[in-house]
Amino acid sequence: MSMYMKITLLLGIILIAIHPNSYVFAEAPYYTYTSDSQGTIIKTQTGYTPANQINVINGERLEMPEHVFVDDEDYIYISDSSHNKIYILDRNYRFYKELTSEKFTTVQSSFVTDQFIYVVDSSQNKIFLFDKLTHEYVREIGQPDSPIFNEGYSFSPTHIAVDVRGNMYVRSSGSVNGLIMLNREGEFITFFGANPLNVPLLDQVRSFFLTETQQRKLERVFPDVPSNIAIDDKGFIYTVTSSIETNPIKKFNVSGTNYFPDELVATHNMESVWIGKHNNVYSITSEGWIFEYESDGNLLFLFGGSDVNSSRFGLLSRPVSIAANSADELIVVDQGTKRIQTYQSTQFADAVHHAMGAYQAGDYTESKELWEYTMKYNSIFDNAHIGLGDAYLREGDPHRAYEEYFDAQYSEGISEAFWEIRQSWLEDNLNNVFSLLLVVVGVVSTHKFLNRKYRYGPRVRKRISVLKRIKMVDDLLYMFTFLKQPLNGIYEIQDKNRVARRSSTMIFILIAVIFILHHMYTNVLFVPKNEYILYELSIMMLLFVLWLVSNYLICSINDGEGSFTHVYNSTAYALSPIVIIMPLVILFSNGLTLEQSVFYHLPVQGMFIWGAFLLFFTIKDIHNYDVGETITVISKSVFTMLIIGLFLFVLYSLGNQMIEFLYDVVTEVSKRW
Amino acid sequence: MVKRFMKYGVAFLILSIIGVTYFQFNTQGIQYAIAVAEDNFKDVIVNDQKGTCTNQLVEEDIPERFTKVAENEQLELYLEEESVAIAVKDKCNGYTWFSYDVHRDMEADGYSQEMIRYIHSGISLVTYDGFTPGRRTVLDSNIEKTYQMMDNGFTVTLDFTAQQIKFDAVVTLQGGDLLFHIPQESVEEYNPDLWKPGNNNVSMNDLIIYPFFGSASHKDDGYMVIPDGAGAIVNLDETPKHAAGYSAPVYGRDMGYENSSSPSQRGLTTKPLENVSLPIFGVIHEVDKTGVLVISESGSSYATYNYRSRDTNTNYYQSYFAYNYRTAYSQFQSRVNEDQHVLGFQQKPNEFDLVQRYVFLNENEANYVGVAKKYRDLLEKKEGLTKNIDSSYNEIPLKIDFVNSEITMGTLGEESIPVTTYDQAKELSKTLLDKGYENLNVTFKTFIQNELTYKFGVSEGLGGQKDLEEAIQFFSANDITFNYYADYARSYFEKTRYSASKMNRQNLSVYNRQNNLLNYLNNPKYYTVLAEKDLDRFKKNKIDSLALGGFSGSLFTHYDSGTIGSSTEGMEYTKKVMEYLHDHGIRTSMYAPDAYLYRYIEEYFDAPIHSSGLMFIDETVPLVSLVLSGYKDMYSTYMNFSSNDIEAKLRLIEFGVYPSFVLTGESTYKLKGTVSNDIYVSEYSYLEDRIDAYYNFVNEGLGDVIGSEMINHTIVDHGIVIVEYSNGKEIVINYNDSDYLYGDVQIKAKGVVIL
Repeated sequence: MSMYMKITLLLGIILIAIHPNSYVFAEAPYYTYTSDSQGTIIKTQTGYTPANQINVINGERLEMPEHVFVDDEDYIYISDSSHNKIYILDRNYRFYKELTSEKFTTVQSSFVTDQFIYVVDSSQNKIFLFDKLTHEYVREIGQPDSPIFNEGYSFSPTHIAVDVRGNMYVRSSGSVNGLIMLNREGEFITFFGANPLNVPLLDQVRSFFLTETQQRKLERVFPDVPSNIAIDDKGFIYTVTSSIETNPIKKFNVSGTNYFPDELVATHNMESVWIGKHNNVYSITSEGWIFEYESDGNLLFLFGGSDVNSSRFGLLSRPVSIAANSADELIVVDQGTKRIQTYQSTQFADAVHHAMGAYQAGDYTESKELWEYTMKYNSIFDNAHIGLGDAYLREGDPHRAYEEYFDAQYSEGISEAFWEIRQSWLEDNLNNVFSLLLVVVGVVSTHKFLNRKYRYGPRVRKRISVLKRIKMVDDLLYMFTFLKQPLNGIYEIQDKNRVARRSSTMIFILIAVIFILHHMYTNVLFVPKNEYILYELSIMMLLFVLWLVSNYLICSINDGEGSFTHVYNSTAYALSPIVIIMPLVILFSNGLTLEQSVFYHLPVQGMFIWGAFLLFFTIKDIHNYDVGETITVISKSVFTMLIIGLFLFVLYSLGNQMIEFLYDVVTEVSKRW
Repeated sequence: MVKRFMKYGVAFLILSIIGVTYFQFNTQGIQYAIAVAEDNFKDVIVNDQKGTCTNQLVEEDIPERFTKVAENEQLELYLEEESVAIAVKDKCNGYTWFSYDVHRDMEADGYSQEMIRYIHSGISLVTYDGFTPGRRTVLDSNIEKTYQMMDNGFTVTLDFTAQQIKFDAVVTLQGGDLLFHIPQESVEEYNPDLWKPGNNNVSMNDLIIYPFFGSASHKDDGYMVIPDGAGAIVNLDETPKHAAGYSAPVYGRDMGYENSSSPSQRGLTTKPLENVSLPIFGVIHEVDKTGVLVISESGSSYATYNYRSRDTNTNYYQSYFAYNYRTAYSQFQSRVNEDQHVLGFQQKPNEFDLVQRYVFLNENEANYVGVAKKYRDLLEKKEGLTKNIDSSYNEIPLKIDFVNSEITMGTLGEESIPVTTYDQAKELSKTLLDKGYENLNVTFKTFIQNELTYKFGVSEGLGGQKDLEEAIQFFSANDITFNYYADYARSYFEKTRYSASKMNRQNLSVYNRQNNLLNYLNNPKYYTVLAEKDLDRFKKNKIDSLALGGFSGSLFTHYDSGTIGSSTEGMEYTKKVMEYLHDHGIRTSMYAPDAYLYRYIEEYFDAPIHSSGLMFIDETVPLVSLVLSGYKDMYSTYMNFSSNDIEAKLRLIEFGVYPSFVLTGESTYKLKGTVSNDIYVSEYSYLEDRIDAYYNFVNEGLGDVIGSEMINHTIVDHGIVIVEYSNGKEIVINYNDSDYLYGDVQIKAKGVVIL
């Protein structure tokens, strides 16, 4: 079946499922966003468009809709706490049945399994069970008979989730210990999935100094209470906590480990959570933003936004609950406008969902086709590029895989594809490499032989030594001598003025250039590309100048023997390992993958240790200190740097204020004219 | 010594600051001064069809408190002196339009006295009483009304003596039109102590003109025509679909009065409402029998369109314009602390002639098509709107915009990145030509790093002068229309020396929701200066056509070194730069132009095919298309970003709009972090299939009506639309998911048939 036919078929199925009275062709009143592989939010093609609005069910106007649930057969259960009933709609949003009972006082939410309809009554703090087919009352579950509840821990259920074994996870208002887990008989098992306690730093410090009695008098800090729950068919429990901004959604396994990433793209006020049929996770904020995540917590779509009295179709006012049916239609309860708003997924979103599904199922060819289809609608969708890269890699096309991964800035993929490319290059070119090596060896030995015979070596050296007469070149070449014999080198710089200041300046400039080259040309796996570095560079230069000055000042009052020129020159040469090693590392890094990152990091670290070592000995020898004195001088210099820095900062901010003040006066006066 | 240094240092500092500020504020030394041409509304009659209608409507009796003050062959004008309320009788069909519902006893209906006065009063004045707005009507006490009768109407001088504000309202008949005019010079705030310290200031804010004219609580076969986006209609049902109000400033918000808003931290924002680009609305009381078109003819940049459904404030569906004479703005007293501010007011009210025209529609003009066509007549008669359509083609045109270069933050600072070289653009155009798309319309768009906006510039990175010449050569040799994108109205990221100031003297920055960036709007007085600077280079590079962006949403009231620039003057400056370009042989097309610029455009880009999706509307109708069809070619927004291709294609055919795409030669990834960060697919390799599909489908629908005018548009059934063209062709469009039988013609689901 061709791609287009599949998509058309898919679309056909969706269209059939939609209410016949849904001819409203309007662009969505919101932008749709996704996040790239770096977690930045970017625009994407519309994933869901508004479809229907329902505010009257079976002749009754919704008064206080609280919750929506969709069962396996796509029946929709809408709880209304004012009418005290649960409306059941069929998959086409037509009224099917309603569930009422004289036992109800405040119907808050529902959960439906194959057997039962669980109804949570929030004012009676009870959960009622009804037979799913006959709607006959089965039993009720109230406060569990367990010491903790008998001692006053409140049982105020608002939402529940039920696993395949019939265990209930109850979200209870004010339950700081997390969800209350009950077995199918309603007996308390344990607390589950509490949020960590966040004690403010100040309180932590304070409590350190207080006695236990004093501490008890202080206001206690409690962990945030989850606001809503959901469960997927593998038994993962999802909680959402509206009062926190970092990681508001958590995906727990039975033992309570959170499987969602720490850097989840999320926000405050996320009220409801729902698991779609692709194990995708939906959530909605009370401001009307709808989030959709992949099963591993990557943001897929983000759209919506609050409607500030513009009455636009598809924007929400104060949504409280979200659910999705098997056709990926979203059903949202908007308490603000007392409506149900539904959204249908676009061709693009369908293709994304199915591509992910096919990929997870291991059908890479199909996922590739689908990803290629999504590219027609969004070609900077990192998920698609990564999916395509994976597919190419399996097909044995690492070059294209590399391109895809590179576009998506996906390091692991880039590394993997590069490994393949390098491997095959080596395989293809091993002969050439060896021949090249042989040629080099041949040339060298020929040269040695000829040189012995004709003695042209000294002549050539003499020719070249003309260059050495240029002071700068000579000085720069001295670098190697210095590095071979650092102590002797320092002596020569100190006592014989071996190098000119110009040459040292040149070394500093070279270091700056190498810093820039490092950011531009090192393998992207180790250093991200296109990051603005001039700011960083200028800070480094400032620190360096500060160091030179303060070190010189400190040394001169501590009987140091070196002049400023000596300090300047020797520091340059002490840092010269950077000039020698970094270019090689930059070059070499481009042949490495992530697994061999040690070959990148080791030389860099070695270089720094070498540089630090040299720096230490230059200070020691230039000023003729012993080791202890040197350490003292270095710490004093650092302290001086801090003081000078502080002074400059104060001067800067005061000066800034003065200039701003003068600017204000002048502007004010000039505008008066 | 040190002391002396300090002394000189401080003196030098002060001098340099003065110097810098001086240069900053007096860069160009251009005086803000432009004469706003007097409006020639008196020379134009829109409805000049005399005679009687075939459909006579039941004559409603006009209460005796209304006296007849004028009559001509087409209309009779009645006046209720106490309230300045009017009634207009259309002699053709005998229907009478009232400025409020005269037949209801409003007290019995339970309205408050204040509300009744507001409903009855022809004009309401909203004032700032100190800092709080309050509404006054002509039925309040302390209002002196002096009438002066004329042959064709009356003038009333309204003097709000307690507030010491007065103005004249001139109401006259002119053929089948009724004109309402408040002359600029008659508007007076004559309190001598106004704005003096200690005075209890009462100043003008808004004037509301006949808010209940044509209002109705229910009409079986009537609707309101709303100028939102492409245009929309609301049926006058007994129970409103959604009880709500809607207010939208004509030609966009006046940003001069608004506080600066910064881009949202995470880049999340909802879509703004569609622009109101037509200064009109319509009220149809009975389709094909009687209706009225209301045009805000002068002062439209200060007009706000208002819609109220019944069951919000009153029992009536209402549509009206309110005109802004002054808006309070936040005058910040601290640059650091945003909370520290007072309300600021301009000394004098905004200066504009308020002219509102009521065109009475009857017979087959009494529908939204008539509303659009009559407005087009006005543009034609008054502004000389002309036809610029090339009907020599057999195939529809296709518009391709190339983003050539953008800037982004690189390793060593801002750098210009080539996205489509001249050569790539040429090759892509060639590919399209080879496919048989012979009627191409191509635009180059380059972001100029030094100017912080999109303008003309030759870049070595794009291939340099030679490649550009070759590309332009290629376009002209192959009959491809070539435009260069220029935006004289705004800059990005930072203010430039052309940027304007808000009323509170802050920089005129506007949050651009499209790409989540800040725009700085240019002072309109520099528009021509900027065009002059470019002209030589246009000549040199044989560029004779510009695609101008940015002029929509760029009308504002602003502070300009001691004076206040009005948006009326802004309109005048915009017209001036257009005339300047035309005088120098440059064709101008525009992105989403406002109606006052229609006569200057060659082609209309970014034509609206949607309304804002307001919940209370019943249908979206092609109002803008009906105005311009047959006069200007219209091109859609970039179809790259359409999420539902099937329906978008049908919509393009229905609205007579040609498809348009944006392309880049390089990967779209290069646009990340640039001004074009809202583009998420632009490579031809990915878009090829979709371009083909759009082109072929729309060409099938519109290929037969190229150069013809859309003369009728009817929604015959749910999701079934018939569009008639002047060459006799009829296009039937089926949006539904099932086939439809129209007469004996079968129209496939989501299909089109041409008859």
